[in-house]
Amino acid sequence: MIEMVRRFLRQKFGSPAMVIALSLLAILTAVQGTLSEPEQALGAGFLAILLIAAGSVSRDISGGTIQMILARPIARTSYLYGRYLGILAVYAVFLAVSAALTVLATRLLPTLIGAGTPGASLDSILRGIAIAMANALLFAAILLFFSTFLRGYSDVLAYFGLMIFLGAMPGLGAALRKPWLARAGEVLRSNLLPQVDWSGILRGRGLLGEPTGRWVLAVTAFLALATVIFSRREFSYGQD
Amino acid sequence: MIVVSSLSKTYGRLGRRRVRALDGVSIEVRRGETVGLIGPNGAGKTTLLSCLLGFLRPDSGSVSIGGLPPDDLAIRARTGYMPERLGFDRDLTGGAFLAQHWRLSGGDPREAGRRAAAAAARVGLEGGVLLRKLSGYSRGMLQRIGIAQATLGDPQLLFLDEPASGTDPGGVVIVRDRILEAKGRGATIVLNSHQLPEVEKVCDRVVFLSGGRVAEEQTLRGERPAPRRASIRVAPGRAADAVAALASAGFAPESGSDGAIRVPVASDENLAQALQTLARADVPVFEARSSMDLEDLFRRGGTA
Amino acid sequence: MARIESPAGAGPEISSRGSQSRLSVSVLFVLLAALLFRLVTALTNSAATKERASSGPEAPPLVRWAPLDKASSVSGSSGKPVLYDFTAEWCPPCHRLDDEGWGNRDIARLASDLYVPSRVLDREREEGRNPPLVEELRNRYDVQAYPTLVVAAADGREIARFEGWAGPEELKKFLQESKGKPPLAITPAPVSPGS
Repeated sequence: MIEMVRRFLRQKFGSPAMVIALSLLAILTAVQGTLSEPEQALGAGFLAILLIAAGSVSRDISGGTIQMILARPIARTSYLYGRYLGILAVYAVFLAVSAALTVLATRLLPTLIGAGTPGASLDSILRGIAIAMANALLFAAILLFFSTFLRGYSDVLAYFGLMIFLGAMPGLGAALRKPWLARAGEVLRSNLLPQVDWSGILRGRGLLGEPTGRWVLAVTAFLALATVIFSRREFSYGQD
Repeated sequence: MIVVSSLSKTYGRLGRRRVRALDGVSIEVRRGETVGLIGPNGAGKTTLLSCLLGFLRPDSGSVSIGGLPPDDLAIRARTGYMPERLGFDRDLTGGAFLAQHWRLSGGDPREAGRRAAAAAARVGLEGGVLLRKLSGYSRGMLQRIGIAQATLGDPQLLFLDEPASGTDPGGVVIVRDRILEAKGRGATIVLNSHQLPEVEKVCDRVVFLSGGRVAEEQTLRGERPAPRRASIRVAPGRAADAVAALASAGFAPESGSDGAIRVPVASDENLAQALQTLARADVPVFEARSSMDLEDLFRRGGTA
Repeated sequence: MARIESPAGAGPEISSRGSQSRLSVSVLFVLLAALLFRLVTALTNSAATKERASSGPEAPPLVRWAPLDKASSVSGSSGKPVLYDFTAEWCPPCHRLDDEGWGNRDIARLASDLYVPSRVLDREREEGRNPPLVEELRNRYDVQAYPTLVVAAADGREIARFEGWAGPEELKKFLQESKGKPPLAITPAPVSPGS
């Protein structure tokens, strides 16, 4: 599995386009963190995860590299979780860089513009990183799941599709005057895309609350489904 | 070692035409045997190989290697695989690629560099080449890296898909050498190929697949090899005399399209007799070759 | 995994290291554990929920909250405007407001002394609908986002409002400045942080 993580890191950081994109995002995050609160800025690394996790499995399949890897004594789960951990590892590097830039910026900004900025306390930065990683655990699991059976970058499209669909159900239910539809939509959304108040949990409230339970189940379920699908997948190799 | 039993595999989903790639294929490969799979395109060769590697699951029938399912990690640990087209990460250098596969095969990571260099040297790729990215390799170099990767760690099982296609002549020899070397170690080898001369040079047995079925099997080496076909080129204008002489001596000669005379012979001694017959008939022989004539197999289209 | 005796000569035994397409028992186990955790958190929370539904969830203790149905009458008799705190359990900024706003002694004292504070808890997501009084207040003041603070006269006319959480200083300022204002004739654009 370590080999798979290492390979993922090399694939991402070996791509100039990816490095540039992530660097820009890191700068953006740092700026936002300096102007408002790092905790919020870091905790909202949506775009970065998308970039990193898109096509995590499907690219290997369409590129034809997966057969050579799976011909080796590597369990399919090792490959799959290696990709997952790889996503989180790259994201962790991104967060570290963003945090460092934020600290740098808050030191520099007063001298540049001669004004004080809201303190980018170490506390706030660390909390932001923790919140970002917690969200990433779920987000990456969902994208990984879609990537095991959708082609190319359709996993990203599928995620948006899921979000939109679940978000629209309550409205649809209201419009069609079917409250059960709205309720079903709400249940699905809260269980598949749970919102957790990580900020509150880090301050000591609601660690074992219902949202946490939903989140744990969601992450586990997406990873379990991905495991089942990928373990049973077949790989044809070209034509005769 | 490898037992394929009534293997059937169908492709295609709802709405698309379903193709029966394999239809009740049964093959056995003994330990240490080298078997070649030949047949027209679409006959199921690559599908069969994919089933042997655990990439595809059979619809019916079974595949077992050493008594275990093909995707068992213990089997994978003893397998070398060379696909028709090498799959690699674009930014990887040749050396890093070999090292990666060494590590993936369970080899000691500390030896990765040394093993990669050794494997590359054995296929005629010297040091500097390993530092270049695979995306810059020529087709021939990729083929060499492919066989090098497949033979890392001296695997007991080798699966090769078109190992000698489109290579420079030097590459063909190298691939053949590596296969023979593995064979000498007692490895069990299954290979697909369109290069019939190469197949004849390395395989003990040949399986002809057509339309997803085993049309014919022929033993090339071993206790009772199959009858061969001699191809004899005589002096221009003397072909008719040659045919007459051979026919009266009990052979069944045919005129080949390239001007040579094709004669089935039972053995090397039989071939010598045919040549003596021609000598007695005063027909100069310019060239005589005997081979399995797998091309004939193709032309006959199998008995499927 | 049973070994089939191979007539083709398998040679020395190769011991299985596991087929890859079998679903691992451990995956199922982990999934079941997660389900169990989910159920446990749901059950422990629903017990607490029932108790909270009547009295309101741990209303920040430093503030002297008035019961929702008595707020207007207390306001009338005391002469202090009502301070409605529209809040919801699932809303993270509301938690910040509770912790750093109402949890702050000075702010809590301001709120309790200058106003009749009362919590308006939206439970539509958890229970599907709200009690009639909550609905009425939400509609009357057209509350769209949480948290929203509405300062109102005893007769219900809106005096001022504050949406969102912008830090303790902003809240303090709002509380101090809204006290003396007269009721509005029409509802103005709400004061939002950072706009």
